[in-house]
Amino acid sequence: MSGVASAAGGKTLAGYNFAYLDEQTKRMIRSAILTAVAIPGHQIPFGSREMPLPYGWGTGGIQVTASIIGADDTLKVIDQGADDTTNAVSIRRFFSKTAGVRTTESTREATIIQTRHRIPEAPLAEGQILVYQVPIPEPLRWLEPREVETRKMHALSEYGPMHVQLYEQIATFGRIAATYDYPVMVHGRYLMRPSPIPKFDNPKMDRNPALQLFGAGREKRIYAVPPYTSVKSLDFDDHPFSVESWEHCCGLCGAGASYLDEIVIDDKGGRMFVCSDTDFCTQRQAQGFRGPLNSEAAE
Amino acid sequence: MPVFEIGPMGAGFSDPVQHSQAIFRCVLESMARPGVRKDIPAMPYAPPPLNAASTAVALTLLDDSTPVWLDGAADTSKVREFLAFHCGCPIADRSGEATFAIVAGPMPSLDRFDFGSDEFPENSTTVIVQVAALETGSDICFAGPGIEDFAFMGDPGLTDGFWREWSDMGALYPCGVDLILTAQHRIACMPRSVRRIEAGRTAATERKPD
Amino acid sequence: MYVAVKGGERAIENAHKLLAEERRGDPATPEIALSQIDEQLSLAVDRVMTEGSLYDRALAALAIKQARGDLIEAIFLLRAYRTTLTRFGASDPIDTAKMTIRRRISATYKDLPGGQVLGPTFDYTHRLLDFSLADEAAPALAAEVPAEPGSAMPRVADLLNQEGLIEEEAPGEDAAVGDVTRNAMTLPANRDVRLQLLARGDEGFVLALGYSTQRGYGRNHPFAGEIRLGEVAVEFTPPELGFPVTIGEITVTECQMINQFKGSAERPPQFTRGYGISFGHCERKTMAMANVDRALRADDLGEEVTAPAQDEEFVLYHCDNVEASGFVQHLKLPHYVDFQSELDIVRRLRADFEARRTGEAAE
Ligand SMILES: [Zn+2]
Repeated sequence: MSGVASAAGGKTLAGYNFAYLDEQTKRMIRSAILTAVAIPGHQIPFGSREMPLPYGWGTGGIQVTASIIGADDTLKVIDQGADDTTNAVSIRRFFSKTAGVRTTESTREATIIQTRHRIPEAPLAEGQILVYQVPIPEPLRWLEPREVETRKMHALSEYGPMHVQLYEQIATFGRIAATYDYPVMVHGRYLMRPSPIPKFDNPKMDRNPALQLFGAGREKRIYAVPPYTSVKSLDFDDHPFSVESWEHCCGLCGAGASYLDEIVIDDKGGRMFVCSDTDFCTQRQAQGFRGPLNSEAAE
Repeated sequence: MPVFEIGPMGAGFSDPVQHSQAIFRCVLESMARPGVRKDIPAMPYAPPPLNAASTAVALTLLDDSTPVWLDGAADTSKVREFLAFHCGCPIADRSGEATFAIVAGPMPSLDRFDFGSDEFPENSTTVIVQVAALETGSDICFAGPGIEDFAFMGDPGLTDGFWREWSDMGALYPCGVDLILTAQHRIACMPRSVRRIEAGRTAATERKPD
Repeated sequence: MYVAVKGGERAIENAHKLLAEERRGDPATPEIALSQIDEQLSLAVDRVMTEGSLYDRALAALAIKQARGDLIEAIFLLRAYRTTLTRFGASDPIDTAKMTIRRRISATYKDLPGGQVLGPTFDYTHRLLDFSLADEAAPALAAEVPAEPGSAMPRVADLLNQEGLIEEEAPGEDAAVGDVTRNAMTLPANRDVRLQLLARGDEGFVLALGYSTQRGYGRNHPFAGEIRLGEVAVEFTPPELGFPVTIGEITVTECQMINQFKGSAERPPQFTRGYGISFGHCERKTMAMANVDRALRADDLGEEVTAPAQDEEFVLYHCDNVEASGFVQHLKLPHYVDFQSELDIVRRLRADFEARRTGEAAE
């Protein structure tokens, strides 16, 4: 059995090291993270481990979080923007069980936020770390399935084919049809996949005061965007980058500028729209904001 | 199974799991925000001539998978014994083959180290450099990822020749080396992406990359 | 009034309880013992150990029980446990020439030193359901105890080697053997890394690829030079001692395929090898693995790479069932943020389309 759970932390899982990973694995991942930070947007191969959660379910993000987290951290985990989705609950439980750390649903209170598919609506601050779960890290993968080739393209900054692909969408559809996992250029050098966040969230990555770390477990890659680093979504002068928008505001808190989930409420075409970021929505309601479908819920 | 005897090699971390995590976060924050200086918690022992911060970083990042090169000053029997016992890291004979390097004397020429390649820029050396001081000041001005506009620090005592080489290395980006500067119990980092801005150039003349 | 779905935590706990109930089945049926799985579902244990990369029959049996017989799930359980284990060192390479043989067959020679030993095999059984096994008290048949096999059971490949007819497989240079469980693979991969990935690879996937090479997709004319099953000693050389110490014994299956090779500018015509190995008795897997190993050597041997089984990147990136299972099944996770993003664009594109059509109609 490996390691010894530390008495300095909260209660941890008997028989396993603090935060599950053994110290040698953490060292390897930590070195990969440091190099990733030094080369923003570049994917660093790492010796990804089998985790007790399936590949594709956040093992990359979990390994990154397990390698950085300490006993005095406060962890928030979201999936689709929500703290209460089953996979977010499962990952949060994993860390409270193996690291005994404090968890929170509040974006502001968290020192580490692990996320799948969203960036919180509330602005992040210096000192916070946002850990993304990444299914496919390679932005050129749909253009070129071979790793040997895509590595060369990155080495040569050969990103023309990606522009061509977006331009073909404009030629076919009259607009760029890419929606989530919308490609970005980091620090003017590396093309990067932001993970499957909606393009709505792309502008939040640009010059964000928080450190952004990306972990792809199955594909065994780690990459990073340091604070205040330039992150630009690809676009064209005549077709500038634009984000999703809704004719509705949030039915619960009335927010008009948050990313909305569409909820089917009957089989007659009835829909309602609510914030995807549950903490953001709850905070607004606590401040007294009300959406059109939430008049009586004040009490 | 081999059984290790605890020898008189000087103490390492009393709580390796929590201490190495805390020190890693100091290194991570200073690597992510060049110019930021972090004080690491007190160390029980540092093998001369290593300072407390270099020792802590070595205990945190080195192991049997990371060959380390020692410059003439750092290559003492005390350092070798300490690293062998606490980290188990192999000592590299040539600086170009090392994953990490520890420099306790004058900074050698940067091109002694592995810069990685265009395809694998990550296969480069991370150099732990013991410098004279890491104080606040305005002698050195940095720009680059991790820095909102400009970051300033006091003169760490690196030579003009070093700064010229650092500037030349920038042209090879993403190839290059990353530095972890240490002075007593303090660290600051210089990832390869950071540029030194010459004195006299102002925010108005310096354009940030987009 | 809409109330957001809450209670993920409770739902998960409940799902775990239901799973435990399903696993147990009818409590009137006695709980299955790990020793029963180990002894009576031994080939399942062998497969889980092989693809789980951990030789521990009891843990593999536990994983199979916990996974309700889902072997890929059991492999996953074993791997996730294995990765937490501290490494004390690497054992010396096992020597299969010194194997205590229980089964040894060659398709290339009628007879050879040591002879053909059928051992425990399904090969010549008629696949008729044996209803006597339905009786839980089925009598055990005592097999004729074979004479103690002679010590001389040389490997067929070594016999061919005496004439220089088959390529030499010398141990590598000093370069350390790769470890796919510790380091990310980089391409092109060396044969050590390929063989590790194939040994851990999904039996079904490797079988299908090995099969494809026999149907002309990267044909390489295999002969089953030898398949051997038995026990080998595992030795470890502690650095402080400097000599090997036996730390245990494991069962392995090894397959050496012999493949024709017409020669190239650098090499004379000779036979080449494809190699397969597994923990326990996984004969189908080792044979298929040997086919794929040989196919993946196409590039090294200067053969044209045309078929999937010869495509290193394709084979190595897709042969792992724990990775594949996780990623295919992750499609169950919520994707409604991305789907909303897609809805947004499809609605816009439809509006564009409608506007264009109305515009055209108006002209
Ligand atoms: Zn809302």
